[in-house]
Amino acid sequence: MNQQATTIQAQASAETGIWAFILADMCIFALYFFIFAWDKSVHPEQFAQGQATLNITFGGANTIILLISSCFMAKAVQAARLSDVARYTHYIRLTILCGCLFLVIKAVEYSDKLAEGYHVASNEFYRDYFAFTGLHMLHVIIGLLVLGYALQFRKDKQAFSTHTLFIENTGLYWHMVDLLWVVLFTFIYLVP
Amino acid sequence: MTNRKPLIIVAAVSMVMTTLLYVGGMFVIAGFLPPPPPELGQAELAAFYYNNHTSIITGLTMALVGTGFMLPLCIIGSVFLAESEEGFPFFAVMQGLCAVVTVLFTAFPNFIWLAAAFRIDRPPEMIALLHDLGWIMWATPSWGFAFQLICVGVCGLRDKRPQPFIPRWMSYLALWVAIGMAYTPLVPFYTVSGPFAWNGLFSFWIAFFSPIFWIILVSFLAIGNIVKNNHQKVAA
Repeated sequence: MNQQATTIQAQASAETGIWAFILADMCIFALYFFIFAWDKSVHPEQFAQGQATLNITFGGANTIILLISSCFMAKAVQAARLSDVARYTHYIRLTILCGCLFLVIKAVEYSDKLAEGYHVASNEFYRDYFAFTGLHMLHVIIGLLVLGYALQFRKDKQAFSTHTLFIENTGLYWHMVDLLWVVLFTFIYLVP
Repeated sequence: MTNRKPLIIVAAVSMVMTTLLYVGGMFVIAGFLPPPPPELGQAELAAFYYNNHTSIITGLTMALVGTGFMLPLCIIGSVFLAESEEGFPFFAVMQGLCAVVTVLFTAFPNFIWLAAAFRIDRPPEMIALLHDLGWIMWATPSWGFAFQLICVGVCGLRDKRPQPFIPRWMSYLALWVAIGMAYTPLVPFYTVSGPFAWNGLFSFWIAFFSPIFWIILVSFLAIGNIVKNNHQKVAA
């Protein structure tokens, strides 16, 4: 058990590259938040009206779904470190399920807004709303593709332990996607 | 393994020529970069082409030649990718094909703007039409270059050799730059300046300069690798 704990500690930092990626990506999202705040200060009424048309239930449900998915992802990484393939497979599948659920809710939300006549060029609020949440959705789709690839590791139990680093990196990426959504949700849906 | 030194020299020459001709032509001589705001009126655009007729044609022609130098650079990149791949070099081939698309879509707008400047007595609305067509074509289809970066990133992460050509963190950075280009398809939605218009923060400044920054970084690392390998050979 002690040896396992040491191994887990040694592997805990993943690799530098993924941290560089996360840092760079978060800088870009920081720019989005700055632009959103700037546009909001220039067009306060337009943003208040736009925010009132958003469905907090959809946004809130997606927040909960992504938080749960992050929990599953953490469990999957833990299982991968212990080379517990069955548990790993179980939790990766649950994470993918949550990601797909997020996309379904997002698609319903977008189609609602489009049906109401709002689109990416309607005004500054909808430009930021569609562009920023859209890019976040792209991150979720990329994450799901990577998770789908990572799910294939279960097939070769002998070589499973060689994929631990990749799984840890995937986990870090997924947590970043989750964190960014929480901030996006707060900024776009909640902050008056 | 391919002898890397001549390839690196050709790649370095290509990069220098692309930079001098394209950046010099577009930024300095033609005055096309940074891009003119999309909200410029037809009369203002016609005046821009009329007043800068000679410098526009000179700068755009220089830039057009500069785009041709991008190809050797990209194809040499494919050679290095192929070295790192096992079996059929799928990502090397895909990167090479996407490079052709990138070069074509970088060159085509120059032809269109050259056509706008060719007969300056055209009605302003026709000049404006050609100008818009050129900018939409220039700013929107960045997916070719994004796929090139994805190929490089994926190959770099799959490269299990003790001394991979690209450090892993550069591969992650390549993927990040590729994702950063995701906004360019929004360009046709905006006829006024903003972060997603063709002269905007995300569609131009980040989508144009982050790949350049990445290419410069990769070039320095590649040259450093060559120098290090040569020193090791001499020492041996």
